[in-house]
Amino acid sequence: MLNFNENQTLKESRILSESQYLLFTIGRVTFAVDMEQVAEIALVGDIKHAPVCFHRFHDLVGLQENSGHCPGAMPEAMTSPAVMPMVIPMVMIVRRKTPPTAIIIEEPSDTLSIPLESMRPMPPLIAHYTKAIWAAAFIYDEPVYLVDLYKFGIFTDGHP
Amino acid sequence: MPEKGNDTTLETSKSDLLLKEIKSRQERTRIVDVDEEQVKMVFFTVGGTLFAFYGSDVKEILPVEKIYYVPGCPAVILGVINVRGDVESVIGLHGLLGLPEKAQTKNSRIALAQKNGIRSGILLDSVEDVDDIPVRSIAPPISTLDKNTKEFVAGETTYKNRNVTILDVGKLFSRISI
Repeated sequence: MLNFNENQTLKESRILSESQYLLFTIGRVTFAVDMEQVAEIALVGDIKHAPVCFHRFHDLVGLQENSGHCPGAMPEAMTSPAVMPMVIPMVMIVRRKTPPTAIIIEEPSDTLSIPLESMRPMPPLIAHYTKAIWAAAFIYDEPVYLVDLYKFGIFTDGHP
Repeated sequence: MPEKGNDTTLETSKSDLLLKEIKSRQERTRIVDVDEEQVKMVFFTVGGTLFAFYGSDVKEILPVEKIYYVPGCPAVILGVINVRGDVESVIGLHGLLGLPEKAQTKNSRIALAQKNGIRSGILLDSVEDVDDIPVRSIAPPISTLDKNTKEFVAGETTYKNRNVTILDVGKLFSRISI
């Protein structure tokens, strides 16, 4: 029988090795959310669990706030990408949070297991501003930002 | 009148004397050179103005490749770059120093700087030189400096007869972290 420490180590190693991430792209920026934080992904009209709150993902991560650059002077990659009207609005229902919350995204592109060794913490100057974006992983030479939905500051209960 | 042999002896002695003096002067110069405390500086331009960082704060100078946008950051943070598998932030100085933004050119560089435990890339319009300068050539910041720049200045020096403002990497990073 495993003692507490061995159980804890086993639990941690399972968390580190088995996490699946939901990938989706908004305005050319790709994000990944731990599937354990997502109860359901559905079209807006097909939600089974009725959420109390709706949030747009790009508002939560501040996709439109960084528009201070002059698009003509700086490379496109440095400016805030325009968020196009969503043709297929989908929602993620956040698991185990109060109030029950749906976050609107564009159509998810994939689920992926991102190895721990590919993840890099956000640099300190950036981590200061992006609490929910906790790491980045370069996949096919493009960054994927890992987002902790529970750190968006929209929930009334604490982090589980 | 001295004998010929004695003349030769005198001339030899004179040349030895001169040689000794020359060597002595060279030695003195060398001693001065050794004693002169030097500091490495990275000279660069931003918005058409010449600036410098202390070389000890700059870990690497990188060519500009793709800078990836990160949502939620202030405009001074341009994004992230992939440096041999590590993710580094990149900041722009134009906004902080109140200088006109300039399109990237083939001369643009990213200085990977580190101070007080914070590391970040800093986008520069060009790197002019990396050189050792005498410490005594560094003067305190002049009082007439532009107020946008003043906050970040570590001192003043000259480079090729041009005045150069030395920027403090730590002060730049602190300002962004506030």
